[in-house]
Amino acid sequence: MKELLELCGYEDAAELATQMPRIRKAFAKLDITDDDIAAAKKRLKTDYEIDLRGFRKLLNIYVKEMINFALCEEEKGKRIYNTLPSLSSALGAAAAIADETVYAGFPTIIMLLIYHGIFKKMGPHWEAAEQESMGTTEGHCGCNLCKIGAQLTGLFPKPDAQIQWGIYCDDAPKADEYLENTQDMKLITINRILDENKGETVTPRAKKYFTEQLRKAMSEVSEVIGKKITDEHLWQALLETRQMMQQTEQLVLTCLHADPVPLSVNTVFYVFVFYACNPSRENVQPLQEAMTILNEEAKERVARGEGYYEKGAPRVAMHLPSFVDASIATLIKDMGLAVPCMELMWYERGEMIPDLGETENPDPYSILAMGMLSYPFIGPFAMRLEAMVATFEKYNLDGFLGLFPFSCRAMTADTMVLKHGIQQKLDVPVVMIEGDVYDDRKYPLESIRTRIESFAEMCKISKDTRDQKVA
Amino acid sequence: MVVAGIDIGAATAKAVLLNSKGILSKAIYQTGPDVVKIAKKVTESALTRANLNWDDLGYVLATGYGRISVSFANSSLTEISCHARGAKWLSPEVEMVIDIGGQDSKAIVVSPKGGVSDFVMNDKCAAGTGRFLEVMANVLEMSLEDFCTLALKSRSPCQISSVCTIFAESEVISLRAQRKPIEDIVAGIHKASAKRVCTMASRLGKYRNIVFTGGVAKNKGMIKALENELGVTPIIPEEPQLVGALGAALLAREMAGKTASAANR
Repeated sequence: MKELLELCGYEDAAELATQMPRIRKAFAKLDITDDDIAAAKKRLKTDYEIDLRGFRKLLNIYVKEMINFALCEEEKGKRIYNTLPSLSSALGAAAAIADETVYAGFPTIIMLLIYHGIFKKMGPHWEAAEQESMGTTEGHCGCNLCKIGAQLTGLFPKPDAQIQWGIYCDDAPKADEYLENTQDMKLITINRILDENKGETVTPRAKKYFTEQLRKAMSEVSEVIGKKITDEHLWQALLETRQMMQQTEQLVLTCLHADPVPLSVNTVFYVFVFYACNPSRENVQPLQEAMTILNEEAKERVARGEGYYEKGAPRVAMHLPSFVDASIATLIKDMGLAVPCMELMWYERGEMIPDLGETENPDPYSILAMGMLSYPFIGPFAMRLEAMVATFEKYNLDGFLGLFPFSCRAMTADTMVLKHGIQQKLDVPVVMIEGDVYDDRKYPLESIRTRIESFAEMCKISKDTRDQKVA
Repeated sequence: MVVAGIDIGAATAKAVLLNSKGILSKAIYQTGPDVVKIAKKVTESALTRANLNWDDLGYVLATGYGRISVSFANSSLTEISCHARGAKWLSPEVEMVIDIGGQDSKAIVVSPKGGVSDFVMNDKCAAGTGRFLEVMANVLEMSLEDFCTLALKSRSPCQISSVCTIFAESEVISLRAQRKPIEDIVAGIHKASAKRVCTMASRLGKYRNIVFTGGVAKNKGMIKALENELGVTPIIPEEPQLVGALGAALLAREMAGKTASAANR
């Protein structure tokens, strides 16, 4: 276990010695065995950039979050869970700022990324969901199977409240509703108006409604934890989020401007995920430090002319990599492609959260609402395509690799239209691969290999042709 | 220089030898369980037919699902690229390739230069593949040859609604029990298969010049069914199973040329 923990960024022997009993307790509770640890070590060495100190420190925080979650029932007070499809945990972060005894986390993401991504342990919990409530077909998103199954098996202690988001898909809120009805789970619901307005990206009506939904939800969170969460608490959470965004964007811009691309898309993804799921209070500062180190290491690689990917490799964007299967990112690299960015994280968003003195109307709920609603990924299709085309043209990308969860109706509805849109506007190779970024049981890796390899062949020819024209 | 294209598919292994003047020889065998062994065997067979030996081979390119196991190959490319190139060589006007093999099916949009502009494949499910047709022929206790030609006699194909091979098998047994004419059942099976493939291919757009490759392209019943679904008559190469290996050989020739140029500099 010591070697595994060192690979996961436990650098200080004294800290490790102090923490070990707690770590062992958590691992025992999660049923992580010696065999699991041995397999995890191999996986870390093959598919993760553990040669980067910044990434090891990031991984360290993730492992600590997993441990914190495993022990939250006995160590913490009230539990507030955030869930997908939200890409902001500012509400939970504000609750934890207001009351340090509160556990406010995003267990689905942490457990998919670490408990399954590294230790491959989610299987029985998914199966529990399929046996109890969801069909054994491939009709449900792995993240919702995780959410339900883990409650049924007891992997997730029942929260005092779970935030339910009706902002993107129907499967997630329905899964929450199932838990409400069968597990007597308290839900705090946040909806949005799905205005699709070609002229404006976010209508005033949608912004106003969503702002009030967020405000109402926070009031309910306050009630659950028994402490008022003030605007100042939320501002603090937003400013921490802004710092994370800015550091993440810096990393992405370094990757977008460099050849060879210095970091794996998997590494950047692990960074990005943290601005969706807030770290525990004691991990906020270490996270900032980890990201500072990672940014420096990325720049050092660029200065040395080194990269994770090959120099001159076709540069392709992705929707997002898999939460649970880092070997796909490795496969993409092995096929001779480079991934400098993903759709989930390429928009310049740090400026969306101003300093308190910079705005006339410092309503943090309004700022948070606008930040979330302006996210092209969940916005109207036209907004999504426009943002994508702009990025492709700005950074001269060579193709788009979509790995979409075929069980996600929200994503699959757009998939072919997006493909044709990109092909028409940009004339670059596009491949949309059916998979499931949350559940690696749903696809054979070999079939993904053939598709990625064929796509890589297309990209190389397309890039050579374009380079010759330019020359 | 003599080059070889080796296509190791799930059902059959193929080899095509090529030199600057054209095709020298071809060979085809059932793949079987030992992919490494069959790759050697099919290549050896092609060499023997051309009165050549291993030393005469300048470059070997492998393709197909077993391409990684061809240890003597200089390089490998996916069957998607190879089918596009092979079809282009055989039919310069080709816009799309529909390949139906033993265990997968694919549609490929071919660029003017014989590269791949777009593709889609089904390798998760037997429906729409050669395997589906084999299973159905077995259910009806017919030889594959009879199964293929009987479809042409139908005037009113039965509707097969199941998208899954296993459930379609049950449906076929049920139709037989209802005493539906056997030719109508067989035609219905072909129609269901063609529909599945064409639905997949239609995601890439509509094209007129479509080359139909793979072992299933020898099935006259399937050619007819595909024609009905596509609304155009597909182009059938003389040896549709060998298009992948041919494409691999053509690409091998190009790569060998590049390697030689690089060495001469």
